Amino acid sequence: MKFLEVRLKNWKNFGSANFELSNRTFIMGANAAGKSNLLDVFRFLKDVTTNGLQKAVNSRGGIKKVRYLNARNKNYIEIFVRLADNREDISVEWTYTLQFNSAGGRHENRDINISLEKITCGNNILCDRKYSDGDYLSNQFTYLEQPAMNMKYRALYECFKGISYVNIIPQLIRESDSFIPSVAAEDFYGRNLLESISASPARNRTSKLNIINKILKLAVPQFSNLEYKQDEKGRPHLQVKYEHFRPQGAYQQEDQFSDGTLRLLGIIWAILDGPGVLLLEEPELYLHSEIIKQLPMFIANAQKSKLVKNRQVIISSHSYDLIDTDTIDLDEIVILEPGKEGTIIEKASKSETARAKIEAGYTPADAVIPKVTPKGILEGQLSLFDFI
Amino acid sequence: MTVYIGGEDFVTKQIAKRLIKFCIPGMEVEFEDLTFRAHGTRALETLGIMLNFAKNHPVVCVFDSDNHCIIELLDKYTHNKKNVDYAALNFAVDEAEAWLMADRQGLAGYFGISIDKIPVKRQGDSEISNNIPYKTSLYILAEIAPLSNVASIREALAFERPGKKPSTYNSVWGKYIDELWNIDEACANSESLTRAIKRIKRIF
Repeated sequence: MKFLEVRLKNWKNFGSANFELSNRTFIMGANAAGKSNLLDVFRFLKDVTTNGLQKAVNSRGGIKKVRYLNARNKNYIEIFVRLADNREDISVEWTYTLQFNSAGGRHENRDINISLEKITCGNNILCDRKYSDGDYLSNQFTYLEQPAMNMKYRALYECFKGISYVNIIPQLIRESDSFIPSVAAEDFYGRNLLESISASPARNRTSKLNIINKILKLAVPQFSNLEYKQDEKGRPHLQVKYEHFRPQGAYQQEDQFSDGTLRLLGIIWAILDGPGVLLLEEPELYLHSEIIKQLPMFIANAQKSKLVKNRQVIISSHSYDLIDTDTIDLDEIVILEPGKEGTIIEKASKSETARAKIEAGYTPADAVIPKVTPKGILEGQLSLFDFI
Repeated sequence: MTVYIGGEDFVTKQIAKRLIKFCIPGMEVEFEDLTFRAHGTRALETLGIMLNFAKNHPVVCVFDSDNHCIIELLDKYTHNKKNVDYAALNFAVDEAEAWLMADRQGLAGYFGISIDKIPVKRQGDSEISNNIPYKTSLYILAEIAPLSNVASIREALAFERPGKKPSTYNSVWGKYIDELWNIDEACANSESLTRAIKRIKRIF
């Protein structure tokens, strides 16, 4: 399943927003424009299915941290998503609407009440519930998170549950003390990368590591023979051979890999470790500009391969290099522009200027990045000279 | 209204923006950079694309001629002047800094030096920069900036390597171009600036 459309009301820094997604979507915006908050919509839906609505809200600091600051009379939060389920030659559209608000009261960790939950599949309404005065407790749990209730829409539940968010922090992979030996723990920052590799079936793991080895051989000078190893305590490791002046080279483990190598390795593993929707947060960090330029093509190739079965990849970024290619369509780019009434989300293809720039011969980067660059920076004001 | 700016560096782009504000006073104008990632000659190489874009959008480009023949530059970078009529395209004589120096009083005041230290336009000449033995920016760095009684300007414009613009060069010009540069005064000392303003006024 893949997301086709998202509509938000009062979600973090989005007062009201509505945007469509492609199979490969680039969310572009300035710092603090709301890129992570937008990705958090998908993470939130995953949290609802895995931990329940109450925990999903509380783990974000409670309703006050989730709700749009300038929310006025209608201060409920609403998330609407439209998805496509393409299996073989059958295509079905699903929608999920969740509207919730604080239950009120004086408690610091206020409960969350659901005021609306609706699920449709094609023309069928599978769930349509509103706030019920009768049973206070039932208003606090989505039907989607309850296995006894969600049988009719298990596919939607599985889709949300299968969403993965990746923002690899190389230091956390390298730092052995941060290794968390638990498959249950969510792995946002790459801490569990080695465990995720270890948990993969052996043949599948070897096949993916072979691909990663070939790519890293191109991207990292002297890199070869990436192998999966377990130490005497059974802890997983990655080992490579660094070729140098001695014929046998030198072997190194992940704690000796460079930040860029670990980041690239983690990103490629995440892309190949399908098939759920993948959220990539600023994949450009730590990477060489030429590698960044080729990431979109790598993702597109992966989506065409049988390995990941056309999985949807949603990428947040402010990198010029990432979209500096004419192989990205403006339809694949979503622009975030902060304003007084919250951040506005717009598809780049809806901007007349961006389309005109593409027609004139510019790349999507030239068409989009000036739009998402802070005005002060465009004016050349990031200069200490004027401040001292 | 959004006006699209092309230039080869910070100084040329800031000059373009200030000239537009000067030419259409009172109008709410936003600027968008068309040479976002390209600098110097690389920016000039995108001139053809900028002119394509200029068919339907207001574009103002300012480039240094660097003592090249303007006709040859146009031929080279616009594919034989194709589409040139769409844009207000001006090559500053020598360097854009020559236009900044053309406001002698303004520059002297900003640098905190006597106006006598700024070169004058010779009788019958079109530009002050014709009276300078080398590139204007180099002249400012070598002959004018060291005399400045403003320490931050002296430091920002001090050579780091002989003959090369210091890395803090651009930071000095933002405030001067935006707030202090008197374009009317500068026009009196620069025929090329007067022509540029006429062209910009024509497209708005």
